[in-house]
Amino acid sequence: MITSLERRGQLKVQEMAFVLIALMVFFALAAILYITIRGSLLEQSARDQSDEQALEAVRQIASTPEFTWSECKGCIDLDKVFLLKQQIARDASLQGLWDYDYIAVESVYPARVGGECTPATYPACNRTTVLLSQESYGVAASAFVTICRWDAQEQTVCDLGKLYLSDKGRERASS
Amino acid sequence: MPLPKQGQEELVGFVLVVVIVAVAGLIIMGLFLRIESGKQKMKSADIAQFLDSSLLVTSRCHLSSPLFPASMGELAVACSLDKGERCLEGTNVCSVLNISMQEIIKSSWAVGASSVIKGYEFQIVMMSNRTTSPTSTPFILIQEGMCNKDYRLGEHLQPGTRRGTSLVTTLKLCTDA
Repeated sequence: MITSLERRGQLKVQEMAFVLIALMVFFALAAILYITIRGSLLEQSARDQSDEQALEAVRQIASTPEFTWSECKGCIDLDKVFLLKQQIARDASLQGLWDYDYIAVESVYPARVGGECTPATYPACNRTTVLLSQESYGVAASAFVTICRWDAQEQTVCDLGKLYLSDKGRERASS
Repeated sequence: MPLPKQGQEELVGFVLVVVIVAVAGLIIMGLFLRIESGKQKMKSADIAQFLDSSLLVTSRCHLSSPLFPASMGELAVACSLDKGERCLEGTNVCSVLNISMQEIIKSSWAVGASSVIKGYEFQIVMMSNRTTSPTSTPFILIQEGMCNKDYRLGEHLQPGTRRGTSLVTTLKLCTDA
């Protein structure tokens, strides 16, 4: 025969078990929430870091003597870039000067049409592909730059542009 | 008496559970709020790079010499000095800067209800170097689209015209409306 005291004891144990289960479920949910948020933040910081790296690579390229405009820091000399493109087209061995598969400069503002720059279209064009060593170059990293040149009246004209870089080998190594 | 004592024990247990749950709830809420406030204002290197580059862009306005057109940064300095300043062409410096920056932002970032960037806020403020935050109202302010709590921010600093002042250019790209 179960006495009333024993029944009360059973009930207490049941209550305790329920409370413990509820607490465990609560903490499990909280932990899942925390891990999800942490995970997304980690993803964001990885993306930020890769953006920073791309930006740094673009800054480095923009400051090399072959690209830089002497009158302002971080600006690109479009005339030099166009000449470099032609030089590389004549001598393929120059492609090995950079650790990249793809380097291009694009004009963003003022909006220009005319597509790829050629001796016939320059400077009325909007894209100068300096280097294209492989047909498939992956996803190019890009950053805003100021592209400057001398116009017909020998005045400095600076436009807003984008410098694109891609290095498949480096992409493979990082993935 | 045994019965009231049992009731007291149950009450203590209940209060304990409530306290534990409340403390855990507070910790989670605090964590959320910290993450949210971090999300609200994220400094972005690519926006700062965009501002650095766009302020060097040549404008359609000649300020002192008919030979050399001014850059956007030079227009900002001239506009901060005098809002009524005019280019040699006769147009108002501040309005040239305003229109050109709108065009630059529009051609550089895809802003719209259907794109990731829902809106933007561009402003230039004159700041005293003695204070840590800009106090005066912006002399150039361009706003478009919806700007809520989630945004990426870029900042550019350049020396102002008066001694001990700087021009702070900021661009806020709002990602969540």
